[in-house]
Amino acid sequence: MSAVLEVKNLKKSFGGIQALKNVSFNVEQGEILGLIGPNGSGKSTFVNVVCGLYRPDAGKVLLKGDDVTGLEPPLAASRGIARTFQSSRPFLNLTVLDNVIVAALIDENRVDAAEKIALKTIKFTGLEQYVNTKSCNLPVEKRKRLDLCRALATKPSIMMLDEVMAGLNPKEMEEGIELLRLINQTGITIIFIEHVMKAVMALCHRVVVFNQGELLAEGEPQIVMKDERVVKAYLGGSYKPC
Amino acid sequence: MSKKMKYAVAGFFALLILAFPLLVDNPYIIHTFFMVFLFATMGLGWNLIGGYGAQLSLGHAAFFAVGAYTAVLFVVYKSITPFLGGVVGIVFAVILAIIIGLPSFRLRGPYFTLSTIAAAEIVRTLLLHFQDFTGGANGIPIPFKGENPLFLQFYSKAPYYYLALIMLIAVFLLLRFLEKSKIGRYLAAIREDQDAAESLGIKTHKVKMIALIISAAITAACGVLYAFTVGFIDPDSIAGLSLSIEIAVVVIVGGIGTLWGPIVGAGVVILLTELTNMYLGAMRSGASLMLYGLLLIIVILFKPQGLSALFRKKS
Repeated sequence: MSAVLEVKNLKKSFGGIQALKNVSFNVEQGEILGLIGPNGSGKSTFVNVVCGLYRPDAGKVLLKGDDVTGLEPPLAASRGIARTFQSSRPFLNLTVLDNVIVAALIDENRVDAAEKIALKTIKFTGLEQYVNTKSCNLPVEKRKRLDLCRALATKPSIMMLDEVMAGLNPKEMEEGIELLRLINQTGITIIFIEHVMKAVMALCHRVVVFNQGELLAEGEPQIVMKDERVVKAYLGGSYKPC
Repeated sequence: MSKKMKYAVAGFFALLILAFPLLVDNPYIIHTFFMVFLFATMGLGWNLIGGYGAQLSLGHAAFFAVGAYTAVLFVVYKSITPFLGGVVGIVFAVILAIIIGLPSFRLRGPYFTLSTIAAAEIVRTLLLHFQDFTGGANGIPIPFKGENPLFLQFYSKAPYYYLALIMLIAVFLLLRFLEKSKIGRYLAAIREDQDAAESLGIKTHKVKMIALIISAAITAACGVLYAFTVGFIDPDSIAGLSLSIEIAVVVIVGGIGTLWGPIVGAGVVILLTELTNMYLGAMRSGASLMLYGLLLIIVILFKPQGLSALFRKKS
């Protein structure tokens, strides 16, 4: 296995608060990496630094060996780094199809060609019955799925999914997990940021745990979850690993 | 209405518009329709950045004045045809657009709007200041040297009417194409959510800049045609804030971010202004402005999507 994303000594502060203190780890090609940690541990800051929304104070981000540190979001996106937002952000006044066409235009100048890609991606993510629905009329779960679909239409090599499972009912979560597996099987590496432990345990090949801007633990989900420090920092005393 | 009927009605109106100057020989009425076409064209141009991209400009008069003054000064000082001077004017307007857009499109919020207002005020002040060259507040007349199409000089108002109509149709077709193209879709994404747009690979400041450049060029071309139709320009009437606002109002009344909005808006606003000036102008000064304000309030209260929404089928 080779690393698709390497993060080296990443630091980012906001005023006096160090959101990321010297974080380093690798994301391997083709894996689903869970990124977990308590609120405020730096997970979303990490995503925002990697996709270029924030410029890091120090450190490097390498994508397939190329330095992409501090690349602005559109450039990071064209290099193959896709992301979804913690609260879904579809283009509300556009239809599902138009939302995805915008994304598919990333390396396509013709709208009709982009439409073909968009329709395929919509079908893949199971949104075909909503093709011509304005996205403001979609329920929360479908909006999240649209975010995912849009990110997928940019043909990324790595996707960072920020809490795509939050607020879903068990059945929807089941479907979501299945979809992420399918996406992963097409060769796309996934960084899966999530609080829903059931989804993390079901999906992730490996997890990294953040705590107060630092890397607390890293490894296979079953092993990391039994780590005392992780249990104490994140899961709380009441969590009983099975 | 059946499809056939619709085509018949559309064809009738098209013929009516084409034959209008032949049927009516009142130059004032012809000129009023010229102004409708001119404002519709400017509205279409403004809508590209202000409507589709939701970057509110209140300084489009700057582009109008730069186009108009450049072409007029070329004629007055060098006797160079406005077809050439106009192109130079459009180039200057594009340069001005780049100067406004470069710093302000990197920022979010009201900075772009403020920059456009400032730019237009600077243009107006410069035109007033260099009065030996521009005529200052007295304006500058274009000497009429007899009928000469190359210098856009005609005895009749009809040629200007047709020129404005041709320009309107050309710009309408351009906008219809742009709306469905990559740039139109990117502008819609920017209007909806800039962060999400950037996360999908859209270089938002570049897209906004392209839209502003096209918009400025259209507005400058309108300025050239206006100057030679009226035969006289002065800084306050063509570089003032009121013109900038009127361009925006035309689009807002008609329907912001829609293809037909600027055309409907120009029709309603310009005709209403002229009618109220005609009938109420003698009654009390300002009565026409009051009606204008009232229209704006009514539209914003009851039809915030604009009047063109009245004609659209519900989807």
